[in-house]
Amino acid sequence: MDLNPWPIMFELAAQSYPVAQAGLNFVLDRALELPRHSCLYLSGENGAGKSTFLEHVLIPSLRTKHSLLYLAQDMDLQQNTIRTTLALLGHDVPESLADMAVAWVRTSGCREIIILDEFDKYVNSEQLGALNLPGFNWVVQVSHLPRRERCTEFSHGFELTFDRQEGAVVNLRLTQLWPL
Amino acid sequence: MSFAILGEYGRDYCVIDTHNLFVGTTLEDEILLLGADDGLFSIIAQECSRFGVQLEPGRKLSSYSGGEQSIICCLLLMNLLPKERLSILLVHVLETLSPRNRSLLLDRFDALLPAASLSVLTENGPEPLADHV
Repeated sequence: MDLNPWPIMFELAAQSYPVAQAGLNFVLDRALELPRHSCLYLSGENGAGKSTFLEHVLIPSLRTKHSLLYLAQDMDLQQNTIRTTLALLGHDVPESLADMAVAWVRTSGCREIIILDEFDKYVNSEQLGALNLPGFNWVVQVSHLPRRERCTEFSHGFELTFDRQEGAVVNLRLTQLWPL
Repeated sequence: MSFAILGEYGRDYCVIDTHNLFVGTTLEDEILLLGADDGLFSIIAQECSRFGVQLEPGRKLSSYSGGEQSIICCLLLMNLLPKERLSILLVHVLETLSPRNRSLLLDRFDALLPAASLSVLTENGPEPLADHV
């Protein structure tokens, strides 16, 4: 019997997802259906729309069914919120961004989905380890760093590749990385 | 955080920090603030196209992605900085770029500022890029 209260799948339907404010239309031709304990990498050239897709398509969709933590690409605004919230909750507020993120993840109690948008550029391998990513059911990561081997602790790995065409269309291609 | 880095290393390096890339709202503002010729916009637009980045006149810099902003800022400075033996410190810049664009950006530094030395900020402080890559 499955005692985990959260959905067993992380899903996003195969369809077009227009994002008017960014002038982009994301075309997902195969549904995202990721079992628990999966790692999803978003990859593509700069400006292909990875962060836009996260903020305007994936996160709004996932939030209707799942609990999630989001560590954004640009921490300037988010770090003030994190700092204030940690202080309000009576926790010590670490100086460095990396240590603050670890404290934030520990404090939140969320262990379902964590989304890291190029966040790993702020942390070294030891600090990344302290985030305890394998403790989450799903990890979604945008990264240009060669750190993928860390997530092989997950039972499934997928890559969603962003291919921006001439104009507004961004084709999304899902590939299973492991197990093959 | 970015001001701390600037304060700590700003005397020894020209710091390019992803948290502190621009002062102006648009690239045209930035060019005006830096006292450069208006024609620089089209030069940077041409350079950006090598990276697959399409510059749009009047577009807010904050509306470009993080990686695109890094590329635009570096190209702007490459065209404005004196062609001297500068020490440039890149802070989380290369990490925002795809492998193709990272390699292309380093090639452009080499072509446009051949006398400059590049360093990156690591957990141990600045390290020459050649030792880091």
